[in-house]
Amino acid sequence: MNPFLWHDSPRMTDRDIELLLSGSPEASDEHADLKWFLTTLADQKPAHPHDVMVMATALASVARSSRPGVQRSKPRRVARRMVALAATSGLLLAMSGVALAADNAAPGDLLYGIDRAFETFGIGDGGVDERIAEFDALIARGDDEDAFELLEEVIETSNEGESAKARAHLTVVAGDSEKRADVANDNVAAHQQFIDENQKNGVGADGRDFGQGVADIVSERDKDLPEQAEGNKPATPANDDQETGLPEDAGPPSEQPPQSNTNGNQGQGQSQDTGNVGNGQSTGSDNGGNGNGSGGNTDPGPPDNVGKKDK
Amino acid sequence: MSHRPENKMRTRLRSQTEDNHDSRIEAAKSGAEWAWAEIYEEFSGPITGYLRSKGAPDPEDLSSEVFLQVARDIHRFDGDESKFRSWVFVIAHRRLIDDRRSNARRPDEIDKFPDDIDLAGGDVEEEVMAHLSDARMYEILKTLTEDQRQVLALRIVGDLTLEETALVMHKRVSAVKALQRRALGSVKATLEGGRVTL
Repeated sequence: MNPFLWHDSPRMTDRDIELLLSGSPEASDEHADLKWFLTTLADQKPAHPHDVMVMATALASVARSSRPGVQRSKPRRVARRMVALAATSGLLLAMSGVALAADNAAPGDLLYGIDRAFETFGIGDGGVDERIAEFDALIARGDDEDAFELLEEVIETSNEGESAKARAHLTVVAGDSEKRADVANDNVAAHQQFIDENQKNGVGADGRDFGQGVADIVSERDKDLPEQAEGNKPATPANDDQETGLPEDAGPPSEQPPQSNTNGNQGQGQSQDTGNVGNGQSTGSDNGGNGNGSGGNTDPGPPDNVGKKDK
Repeated sequence: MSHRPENKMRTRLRSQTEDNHDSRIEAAKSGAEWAWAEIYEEFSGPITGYLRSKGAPDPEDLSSEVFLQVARDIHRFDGDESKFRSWVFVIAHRRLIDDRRSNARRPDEIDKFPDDIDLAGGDVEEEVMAHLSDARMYEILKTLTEDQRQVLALRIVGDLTLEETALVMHKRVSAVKALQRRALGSVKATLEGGRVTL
């Protein structure tokens, strides 16, 4: 080992450093102690994530419902809780149903696979089923907070099989929500196209607000639909969209009430902190990460060309 | 003694499959589960490890928040796969800052090494040694400046290239090079000076 101050040594070239940092076996053995340090640091990385498919389902749902103009309340809230649960609760789902379902890429198959897997556990009657029914009832009533508390309690306090069943139910609920979101999305698409064109034509910030207004209107409408507990009726939502009066000739936003919708844009009356995500009309110049609610703009700051989408 | 045997492979694959990756981002934007499964599988380890190496009290939990935010905001992301990696780490970094603030911790504080290492099961002696090794590594890490730690965490744990790291840190490549050189020099000096003990 070099007894002298190493960083004064001219022998450490950029290439040496790169070799060390990339963990290359070509790195000189002269730096065995550094290698130990870097290897130990690299080992802080967990090897394999668990619950990949559960997370994937949840994240896909979030991404879908976060697209501009998409109904955004329920699916994302459900998915948010799913993500939290996937991160903190047991691994049974990952080891069983999801592994099975992972062979099938189609979302429908995934949910089907999870469902099927639980039959093989011979999961008992009574307790959990009853709780799940209660959960559905609460969701149907719009009492999401209590519903999730209930289900989380089941997940935390039940035995593995029951806990997994509760989590599977959550997944299925999210799946249903996605379907509803998709329907809403289809309905919005036509309007969104109009809005996009408006923006291209230089309508600018007002056009954005207007777009948000449209999204919120559709979102509000969708909220009034029967909840999933009453059966999946994705076909019912709002093919009569026209009544929202979103007109071909609706240039500036003053005709519709985008103001009020825009004001309600932060979280849309929900207690979750899922606001601040929409189309970013007020934060259009930030870099996309946007700190989520508690002021993420204080960091050293990423470069301007990362993730900037706004046109 | 390669701590990242996949690294070269990844770099090579990355250029070969650039198109696939771009379409993966597009698929992720439209909510395709396969794309999110891939992204989560690929980034989960580096992100969680990054947060842990930066002293996050609950890296797994924070990591899930990072992914959630990535999913929410991906429709606003515009760029290739390499930029995407940087972008994800920018989000991770911001979440970390938020988390620290809400925990009322000093911004550059690493006051403990992770205690969630499972000592039960397996070879106990080996586990204990690994634990001690980690503790020593964290002691040394604490002697570095925040920027130096950041560079090492992004490059070693986050698997980012020099350029990607520069993008995340909003610095020039040359500045990142200088930082990593100083970081390694400082680590080396600490190791040789024997100043870290347990």
